[in-house]
Amino acid sequence: MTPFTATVRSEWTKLVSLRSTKLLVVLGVVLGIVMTGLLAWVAGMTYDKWDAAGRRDFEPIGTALIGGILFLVLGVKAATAEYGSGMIRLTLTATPRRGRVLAAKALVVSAISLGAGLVLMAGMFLVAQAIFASYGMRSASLSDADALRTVLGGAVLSPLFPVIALTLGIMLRSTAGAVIGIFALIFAPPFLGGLLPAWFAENVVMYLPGAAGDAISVGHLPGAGDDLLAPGVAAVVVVAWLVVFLGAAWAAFERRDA
Amino acid sequence: MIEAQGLSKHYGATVAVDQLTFDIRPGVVTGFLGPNGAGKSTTMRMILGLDQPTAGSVRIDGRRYRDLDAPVRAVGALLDARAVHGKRTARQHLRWLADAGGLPRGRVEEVLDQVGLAEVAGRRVGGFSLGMSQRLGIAGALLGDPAILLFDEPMNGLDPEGIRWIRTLLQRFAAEGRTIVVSSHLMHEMEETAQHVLVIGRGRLIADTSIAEFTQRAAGSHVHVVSPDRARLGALLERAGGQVQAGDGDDLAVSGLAAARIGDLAAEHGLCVHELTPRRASLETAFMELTHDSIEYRPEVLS
Repeated sequence: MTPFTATVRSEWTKLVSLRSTKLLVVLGVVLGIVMTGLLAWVAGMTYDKWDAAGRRDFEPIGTALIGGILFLVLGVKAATAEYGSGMIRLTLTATPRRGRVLAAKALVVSAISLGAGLVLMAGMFLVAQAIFASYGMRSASLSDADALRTVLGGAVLSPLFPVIALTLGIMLRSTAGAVIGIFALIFAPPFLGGLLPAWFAENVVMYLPGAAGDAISVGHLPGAGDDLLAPGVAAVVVVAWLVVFLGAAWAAFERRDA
Repeated sequence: MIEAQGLSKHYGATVAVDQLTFDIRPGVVTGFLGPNGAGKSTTMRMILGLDQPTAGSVRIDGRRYRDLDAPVRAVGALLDARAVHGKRTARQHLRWLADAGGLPRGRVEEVLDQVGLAEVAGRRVGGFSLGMSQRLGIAGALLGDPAILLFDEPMNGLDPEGIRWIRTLLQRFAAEGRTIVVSSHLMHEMEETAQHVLVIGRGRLIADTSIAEFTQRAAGSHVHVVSPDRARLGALLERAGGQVQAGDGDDLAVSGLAAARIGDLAAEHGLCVHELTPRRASLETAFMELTHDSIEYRPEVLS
């Protein structure tokens, strides 16, 4: 067993031995699917009152899908739980190479949110389509290339914000700070974007992690908006964000006293 | 073997550890003593590579801690026994630690047995008493069967039986040739545990010596003498070079003369002696005297 494998195993054992981890994953998946079901159901209930244009533009694939918000908490807790208790010192005594600890944590958080994200995306998609179909609305199936790209793209992107949340947890060493930070990063651009000059919306927002992720998972769908990046560029931007956040966290982690 | 060279740690203008130079050798229990706030924990964190020294260095068997190949097998450390995640069971806690060191899971059960926690291994550590937490911390330190053990205040919260247990354990490990460091702010805890002491106060090294030498150096050792001929005996002992202080009633406190010499002198002069007792200053007194000037916060005496 290489030293890195040992560290990954250790971080895995840490996370899966907590009931809160299992709870977050199960709740994240179940709540996501239930919310999607409700949204799809509301759409179906009101469908007979939609006007012709609304029915014509209805795009079933991306409708009613929401993200795995609870997986963010997983990323935050993987870092801040240890600072809160002081256990980080024990972790760094067992594994003094801090870059290795950070990489192992990022890998484990990624693996869990990737697996949960795949189940969540597939579940949300299938439930929404079944409900659309039952109301006689247009619906899609996983054999659609467009649908498959949305489900797989969404799953592959699931670790993005949890890993950024982890790096914020390492940098801020506080659960509240990291949670506020990650929510600001996700929700501030869509909400505040309208208040800022148009230049900001036209030239900056598309490069933020959220919009770059959307460009990959739903950018190809009709009505996605033409201010999204091309998927290849968006993939580079997403990786660049991960490198920036992981690099900043690593620098802070290495330099500071534990 | 742990070697510190000019080890220093400053926090802004505050000097927490001031140019410590010492070698900690294997085969004996070394007590690391100092009042609260003297810099013991900071020094231990620097030994473990958790805190970066402002100046100087500390090496473990010639290498920096973070350059050790297998730190869990080289060094076992107990810093703060309460610094664990309360929702994990004792077994789960030791498992991630064993995994980090690349150790087999079987070691977890062995150390649980060794520290007497086997029966509560499935219980969450959040509900542990301080004594049980200390045992769990010690179990974690023993996992890798390391040649160096570093315990910060391990007797905190242990009952007398627990203290005896850890003393025996530490002495057995020292006899096996391991390097054992135990910090404490209480001298009496070290009396029967350590063979060597490093004393620090306000971050500075005050003493690096054997326990026996440490007590001998202490002022306040004297011979307690009770005699009905107190006045004549006192004068006689002063002529012989002793310092004599009269106490209440018939007793004298004599320093500078051994008990045997006092007895001989009294017999030569036909003086009656009812009591003759060498009184050694306690380690506690010696420690207090040495660190007196280095206690950071001393209560002001009300007048």
